[in-house]
This record gives sequence, C-alpha cells and structure tokens, in this order.
Amino acid sequence: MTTVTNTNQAGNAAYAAGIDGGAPTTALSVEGLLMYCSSRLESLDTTIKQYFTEQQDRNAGIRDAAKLIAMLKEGSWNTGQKGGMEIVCNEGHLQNHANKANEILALWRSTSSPEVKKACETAFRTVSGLDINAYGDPSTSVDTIALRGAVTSIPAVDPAGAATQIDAIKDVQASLSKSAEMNMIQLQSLVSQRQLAVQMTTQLLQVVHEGLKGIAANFRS
Amino acid sequence: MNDDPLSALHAEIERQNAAFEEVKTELSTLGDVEIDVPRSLLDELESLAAPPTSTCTTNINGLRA
Repeated sequence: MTTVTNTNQAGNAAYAAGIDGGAPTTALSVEGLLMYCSSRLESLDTTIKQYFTEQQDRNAGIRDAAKLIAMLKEGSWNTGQKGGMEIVCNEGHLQNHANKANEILALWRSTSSPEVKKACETAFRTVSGLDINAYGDPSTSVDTIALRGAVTSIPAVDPAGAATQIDAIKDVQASLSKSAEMNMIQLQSLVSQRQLAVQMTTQLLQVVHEGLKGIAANFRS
Repeated sequence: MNDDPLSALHAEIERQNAAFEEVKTELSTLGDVEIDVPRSLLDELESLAAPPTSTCTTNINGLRA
C-alpha cells in the first residue's frame, strides 16, 4: 500500500490516498525519505569511488609498464648489453648504463603500481648491478662512480635475454590489463545498480504525486 | 587501455546525480507530508546499496566455497 498522508499544519488533518492494499509500509517524512535515499546512494558511491581509484591505478600501471618496455627497447638496449669488466674500461658505456638506470629509477619513483615497481627493480639491477631501494631519496641518482663499484654485478645480456626481460614486463602489463577489465565490469555493474536506485526514487516520486492527486480528488468530491 | 570508459561512467554518474537532484527538489516542494513507503521498495534500495559480494569459486568437488 502506498499512502501519502497530508499532515499540513494549515489543514491540521491527516489524509490518506491508498494506491495498493495490503503490502507493509514504513511511514517517512519527506526529509526522512530524502535522507534515506541519499544515504543509500552515498553508500554505493563509496564503493564506486574505491573501484574508480583502483581502475585509475591499474590504467596508470599499464601505461607505466609500457614506458618501461619502451625504455628497454630503446636503441641498442633492445639487443642486450655488455656486462662486468667489458664495460668498466669504457666511460661512454658506463655513462649509458648510468643514464638508463636513472631513467628506470625515475619511473620506479613515479609509478604507484607495485607490479611495475617490481619490474623496475629487476631492470635496474640488470642495467646497473645496484639495488634500486638504496635510491629511495629523490635527491640521489646513479653515477659512473657507483657503477664502477658494482660493475661485476652487471650481467651481460644477449638478444634472447633482452627479449625475455621485455616479455616478463609484457606479462605484467597483460596481467594488469586483465585485472583492469574485471574491475571495469564490476564498476559498470555498480553504476547500473546506482541507476536502478535512482530510478526507484523517481518512481517513488511518481507514486507520491499520484497519491497527492488522489487526496486532491477526495477534497473536490 | 585509456581512461575513456571511466570518463563515460563518470558522465553517467553525473547524469544520475542530476536526476536525483530533480527528485529531491520535487519532494521538497511537497511540504510537510508523511509518505508510507512500501517496505519492499526500501528493501530493494537496501540491497542495491549493499557492497558487491565476492565471486564464489567452485572447488574440485563442485562445492562452492
């Protein structure tokens, strides 16, 4: 039963306009009803906001993984690298390694994706022989002096090894994409749920209007 | 993947907000009335606002965890 009861102070009387009979109802003031509907939407919005943030993070992670892949495909890095003592005598090679390590370091610092951070750590260690976690302070960077100290830890990477390294990051990217797709489906479902909730309040308004029309008709007759 | 699908969802939420604002405005013009709201409608709203439940996984015996 949908009943609108007019408790207008001017009339100081209660009027009921029944539309349906029998179903249990809860009497709410307009203010109470609005608060109820708003709070239900807010509850849904909290969840939606959480999914939105997660989706944005995943999309950023996918983009960051693509950046790392591009870094490791750039120029001669695509075919691997010389390692250990092979590069220690060549200042140009050392500088190239320092530059690449600093590129990876910048991405590691800026990305919010734990998966990409991990991939950066591996790539950084391969390029520099150093532990990226020692460069947490944003004012620090890799120089050739640090590289000389770690040169024996820099592995030689052949073209197949370079391809494997890039494939591993592509796997990270694919995993993030899959996770983003699942998240997006959930998000779309939540927005549809929200649409239904809003539609229900609209329908409720129509019912209230019909009820009030009934009250007015009762007055006239 | 870009953020475009997210922008579309954001626009949809904005549209829903505008529709809900209209409802709020209309309801507030009704004055001091009390509305008997069907319990089923409130229950429906309640279930719509409930957080999503995690997906059940099927174990090897076909029993749901």
